[in-house]
Amino acid sequence: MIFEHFFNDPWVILGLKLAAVLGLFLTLPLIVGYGEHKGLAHMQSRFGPMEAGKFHGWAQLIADGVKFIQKEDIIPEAADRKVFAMAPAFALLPVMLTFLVLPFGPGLAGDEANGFFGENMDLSLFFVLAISAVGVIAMLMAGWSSANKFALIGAIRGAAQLIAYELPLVLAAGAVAMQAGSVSLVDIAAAQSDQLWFVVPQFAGFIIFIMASLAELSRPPFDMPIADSEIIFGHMTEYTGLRFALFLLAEYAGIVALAAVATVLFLGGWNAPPLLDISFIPAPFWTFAKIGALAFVIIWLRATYPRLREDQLQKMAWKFLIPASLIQILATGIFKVAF
Amino acid sequence: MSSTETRHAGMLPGGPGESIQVVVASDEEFETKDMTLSIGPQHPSTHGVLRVVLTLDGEIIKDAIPVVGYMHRGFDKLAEARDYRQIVALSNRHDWLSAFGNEIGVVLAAERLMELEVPARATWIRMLMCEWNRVLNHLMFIGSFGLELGAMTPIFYAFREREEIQALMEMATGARLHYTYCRVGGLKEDLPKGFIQRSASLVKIIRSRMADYEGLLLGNEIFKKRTVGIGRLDPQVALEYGVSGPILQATGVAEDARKTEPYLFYDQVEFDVPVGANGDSYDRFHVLYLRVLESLKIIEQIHSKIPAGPIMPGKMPKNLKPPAGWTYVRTENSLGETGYYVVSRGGTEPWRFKMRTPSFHNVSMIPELLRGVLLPDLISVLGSVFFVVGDVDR
Amino acid sequence: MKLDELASAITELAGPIERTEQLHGQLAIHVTPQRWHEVATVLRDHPRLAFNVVTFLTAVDEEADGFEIVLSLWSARRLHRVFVKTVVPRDAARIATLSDVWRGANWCERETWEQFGITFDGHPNLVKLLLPIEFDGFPLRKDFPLMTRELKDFPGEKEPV
Repeated sequence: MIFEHFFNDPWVILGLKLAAVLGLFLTLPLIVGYGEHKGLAHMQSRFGPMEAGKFHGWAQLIADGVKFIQKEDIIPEAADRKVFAMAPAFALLPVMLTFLVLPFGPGLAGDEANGFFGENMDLSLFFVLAISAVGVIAMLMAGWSSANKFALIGAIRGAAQLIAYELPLVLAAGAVAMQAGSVSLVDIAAAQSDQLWFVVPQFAGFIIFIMASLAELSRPPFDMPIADSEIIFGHMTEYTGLRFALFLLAEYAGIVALAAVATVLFLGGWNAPPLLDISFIPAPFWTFAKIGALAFVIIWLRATYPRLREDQLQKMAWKFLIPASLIQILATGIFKVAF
Repeated sequence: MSSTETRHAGMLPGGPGESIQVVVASDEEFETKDMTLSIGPQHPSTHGVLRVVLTLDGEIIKDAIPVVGYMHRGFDKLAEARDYRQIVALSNRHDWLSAFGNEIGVVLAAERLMELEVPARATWIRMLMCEWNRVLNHLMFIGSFGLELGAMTPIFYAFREREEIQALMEMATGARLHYTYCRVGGLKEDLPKGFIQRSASLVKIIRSRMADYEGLLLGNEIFKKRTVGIGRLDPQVALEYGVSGPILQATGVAEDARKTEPYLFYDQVEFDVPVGANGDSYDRFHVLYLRVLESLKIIEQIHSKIPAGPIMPGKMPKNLKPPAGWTYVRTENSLGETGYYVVSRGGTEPWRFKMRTPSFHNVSMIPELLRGVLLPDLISVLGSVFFVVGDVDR
Repeated sequence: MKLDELASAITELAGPIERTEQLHGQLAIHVTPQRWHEVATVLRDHPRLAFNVVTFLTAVDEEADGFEIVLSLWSARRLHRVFVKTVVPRDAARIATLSDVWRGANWCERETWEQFGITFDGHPNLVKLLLPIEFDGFPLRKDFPLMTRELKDFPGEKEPV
């Protein structure tokens, strides 16, 4: 009796949800980061981490985290101290907030408000897209306050890039919302439960969404803002220690978040693929599997491609991706009305 | 205080019939200043301690001035205080990616002054070493050029290949990088047993792996976008600056010392001199890639042509005293024309020992390529103008 | 072009030169410092000569006899090479610049100036190239001591065992 009462208390449920979201936020990026170390290594005919934690270096990123925490806090003399110190927070919080609304599984039968997600917002897609735009501010704050010419160049490049690629991201997601008839991530995933996943009718939108996500995250081949052979490390050049670790955590968490959103929008969310629908595999497994596959593709792209110059990047966004996503919306609209 | 003028900005929201006065400052306050940025001397992309001082307007380069000399070790002065055997050990520290190519000019100069006949076996082995060093050097640049553009993977493959070639070099000379294998008159010692077989199998392995670079870089859309049409070099300008080697060949001039002024036995092997069509970064890279394949061809021919015999022409005097005179020896090193102008006055040490290095002239030509170019293209151009800083500064 | 042909072509076309010299299959011409720039221009411009590549430009310290300046030219069209030499006195070490004839001579002359102290009249940017700005002296002159040799004898003097 007491247990039931305990677990029905809304504050307890809220606490559990927040703990779960925080836990996922802190572990999934580490898994993706470790996957990147090992994946890149094997593609480049070397081993990757082998020592930390004895078995194939599984604890490498945890060791890195400990190392970053114990480093000296260095702020350049000419830097703007308050802005410099706050920039990582502006990078980290938006991603943390996106994790709240990502659905890893369906709602519980009979209880729409609870399930394998933090919060079932009616406008969760809109929320995610809006919040992830705040990352631009972090880049500009870091680059400007660092008092470093390379950081400044990186920040300006990053700001231009992120603003340009917001539009294809939003438009591609908008086409999916139109097809599903809802802006709620849970509903979009649920709408793909018995029918063809949206990746098939919206294939162009899928490609556009992935490219725009890569650009939003400054991942290769769109990593001009952090081009480490030209501008050292872009806006993060002067950062070290825990602040640097938080920037990197924000980047990897961003990969997970955008892969999760792409999974929900295009790859059917928690729905099992048609022939593999075995009942004892829980729904979140499929979500994590799909997120893992997308993260692997993102890592694979890093190993393969050189980076685009930023004016070629901008041209690609304005002259190619945006018109393509507009056509996608138009086509979706026509099909929605006609059929 | 600058003068200001006020203008009406037209009808802006704020109520019907209301206009807002906008104060526009004069042009003085909106002037922008060009930014001076120093790339280097410590920078991930400048292949060592080269500094380029840029004047930037946004991201467009208005002017670029290379500042060299961070690695000047005074080779010319040091060589005047050493005899010819010791100079060999100093000379291979210049183009350290293909160290043997530097040594060979020194001994050829001394041998020419002394009018010494070098045994055939020694000459063929010298050619073999030169060509393997050329492959070593070019592989390094193939890998690092990709890295500078953002492709992380080719450099690991390039280093994997280089490690195997360096193990082969170690088998013959005892050193992986600075060999000191040449002696005036021949070589330090003969090749060990099994060297030729190992060299032959290595040629096959490397040739099969060259396809990787073609797929990852030469055929890659993004790579082409970053390099085609970037840093176009005119052949007349290149010749005027004294540019040589793959950079000159990429502009369309088929100038290769191995063909125009053959030394060693290069006139007895068959190979082509690949040329580019446009002289842009893509062509320079492509010529480099093709030169590796040509070198592998030469190495295979040498395997079948090495005769048995001695590697030194009998007993050499302990103190070599080339007679008085001067000469200039030109060799086609991996980066271009490496030459030695030697003036001897009959002593054990040379009177003047001038080393002419290709990277010096290649780097002096860089400002011609960089005017009006965007900042990321600077990296593409710098990476494609192959130079080694030890070679520039001596 | 064969060396003898080349020597006679140059003597014919470049005006009065002091002498030609052939050694170990290579040709050198000696000119007076006053004719340095003129001869260089003819060597570049005349179609039978067509020397369009500066291979190097350096100097040799001949002690009491002055500095011998050596310019090495190559013709990419005709595939022949010549060395142009001149001697300037030690106490008046000046000569005309060739950076307006070939752009490649620019850095070569800067290096020769900083190592030997020979001034090139008309050079647009005669500042130190390889040496640090604060360096005092002209290192490649024979009277500039190599410090390690002041401290220790040349180890190669002894007969190697």
